[in-house]
Amino acid sequence: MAGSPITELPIGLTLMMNEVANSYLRKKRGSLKVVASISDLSFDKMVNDIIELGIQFEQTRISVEDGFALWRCTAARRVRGVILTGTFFVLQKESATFLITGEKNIFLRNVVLFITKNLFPKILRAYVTSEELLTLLNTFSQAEQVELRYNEFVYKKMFGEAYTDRRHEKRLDPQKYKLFQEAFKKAREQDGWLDRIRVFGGEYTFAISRGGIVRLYDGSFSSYYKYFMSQFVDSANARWKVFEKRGRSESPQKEVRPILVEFDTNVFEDLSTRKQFLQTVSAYSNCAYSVIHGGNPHLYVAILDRADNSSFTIRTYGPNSILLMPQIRTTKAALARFSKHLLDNFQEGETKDFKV
Amino acid sequence: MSIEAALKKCKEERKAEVDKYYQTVLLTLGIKDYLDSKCRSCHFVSAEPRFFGIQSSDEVRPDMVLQYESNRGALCEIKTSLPFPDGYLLSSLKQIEKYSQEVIGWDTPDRKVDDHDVILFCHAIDSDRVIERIRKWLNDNSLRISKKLCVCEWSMIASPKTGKEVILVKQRFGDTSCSELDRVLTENILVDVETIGIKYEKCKFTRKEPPIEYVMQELWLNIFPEINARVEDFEISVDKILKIAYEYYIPWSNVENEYSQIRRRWIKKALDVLSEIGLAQSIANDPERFKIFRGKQIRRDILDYMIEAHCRLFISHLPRKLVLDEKAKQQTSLTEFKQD
Repeated sequence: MAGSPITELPIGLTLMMNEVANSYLRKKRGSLKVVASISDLSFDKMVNDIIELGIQFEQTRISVEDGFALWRCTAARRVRGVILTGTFFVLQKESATFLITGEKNIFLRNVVLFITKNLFPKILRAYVTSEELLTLLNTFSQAEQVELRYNEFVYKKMFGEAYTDRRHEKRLDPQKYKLFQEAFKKAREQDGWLDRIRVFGGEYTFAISRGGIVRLYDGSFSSYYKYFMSQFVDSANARWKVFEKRGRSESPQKEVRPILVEFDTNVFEDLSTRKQFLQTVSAYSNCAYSVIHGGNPHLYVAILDRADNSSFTIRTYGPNSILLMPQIRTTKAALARFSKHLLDNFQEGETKDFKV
Repeated sequence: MSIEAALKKCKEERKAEVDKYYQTVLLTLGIKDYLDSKCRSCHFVSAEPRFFGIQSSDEVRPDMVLQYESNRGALCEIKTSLPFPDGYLLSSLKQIEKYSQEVIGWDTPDRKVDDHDVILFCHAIDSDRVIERIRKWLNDNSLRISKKLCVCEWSMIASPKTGKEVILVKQRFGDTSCSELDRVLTENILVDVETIGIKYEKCKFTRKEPPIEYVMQELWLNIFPEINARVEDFEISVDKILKIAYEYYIPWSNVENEYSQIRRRWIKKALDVLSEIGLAQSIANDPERFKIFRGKQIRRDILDYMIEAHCRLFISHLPRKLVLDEKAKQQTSLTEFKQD
């Protein structure tokens, strides 16, 4: 997954995507949803995989410009007796892959996100940390010279408990709303991490999440692309560099090269947290795991990611860390997926190479 | 005892056995690490040595071998747990009687040493009881050990100073013929488990035969993915697994005739048990080839699943009256049962 996308869209695509966005945003309660992802494969190489998921699918490449490619796709999927049909676009350059739709949330959840989930490891959802999200919003606010205020945010606490802070009333006086930085502060005060936030300011209204989804309600697509979408992919690529070529089979000396995940707090000081951490691990979807040593006091668990058949072990390390120990076959995709699982369901943490 | 109660007990015991084996490997690595860095006149030779009696030619299989500068050494036995009834305890300890004979296999030009000690490492939970019995049995000659015998206890504890988990080893009975080793054992050996844990990833097996489920889960979670990258049923031979073992589970030290930490017979036995519990199937007319049912989705702790399935099988083979008889205090261990 080498290379990084150019943060500026080429002129032809800028015009085209702004027009696509406007066609949805003009509708009553219209919005455009963008899912930032990463893939080593060209999107048209994944068509058969999508059809194998039971989705009626057609795609047409509608633009190629400066290394970018844009596909228009129609998809239909039967969900609990109801056929969901809709359109989405795929914008791709190198590994950066964006799935874009103006359809309703039900289509986003059951078709677009269903595809990204089930095409793992061919496609991986990008994500950022709460701190990175704050930086992106600050950069955008300064560059576009807008005061962004929030009317809704969701924060998560340890073990993925989510809390929502929302204002329902009609927005009459923007000054009555607090600046977005306040939402991050509030989340921190509650020992949590901001997970997603909806903001407005100037010509922009949008919602953005750590999980790499941007919802546009107002504003130009190209600005969102420049300040958020491309940045999501860059951040994820930089973070996942540490996961590259970790399997013992990829080391000439068959070495074990551990990865340290350092959490924000001394989470393992409380021994009962270790047991709860086991529950988080066991909730990791599509995996087989094996608890070899169950937390007295350290935890040692072996995990097999069934989605791509690669394995690693987890060992608690000190009061605030775990070590991910790659095994014979360990893929970058599996390590990235597991680290997102921890981010969503346990606690935010920094991932780094562990020097033995 | 009801079938369900027997199953629960069997599962707990097997799970504990796997954990104990894991801890034994950590302990062995810990002692090796400590001696390599802190003890000049005593060094760790191997976790998988091959030693033979000079007179008897029988192979003796110590868990660990230490060698002193003075052309002496020690054959070590590690016990994660020892049985309570005296008869069983004595027969467990009789194993170290074999270490009293003169053996060949040392790391010297003629593979012999002038003399050697015998060191028993037992868990701190067992140490008081075991030492008391050893004293008694040495006095009445129920236990005959003609070499210097040293008993050490070991435990895995949270360090009161740092809160970190450490392996603590201390001398409890007798001594060795290496004064420096005696000194470190008297002062207590403390090894950081977290540091050792990283080394464990390459050294998961000692010479001691592991519980079969320990091997099964290692095959399932680590070796099978390397053989077939897709989650689907596939065929495998014992030789193919051994080839991977030669590459990734290399011996702890370069000892002649040793190619891997995992033995062929452990692999074969693990594949046989996987077949018995429905996760594999032996190929007709070829006892060395198996079809592995990797497509089967097991949505729970795979080790727990394997242990439960194996225990159910074990219990179904027991005479019904043995399961139901509440007075049946001593049951055959699953490992012994499988060997029979």
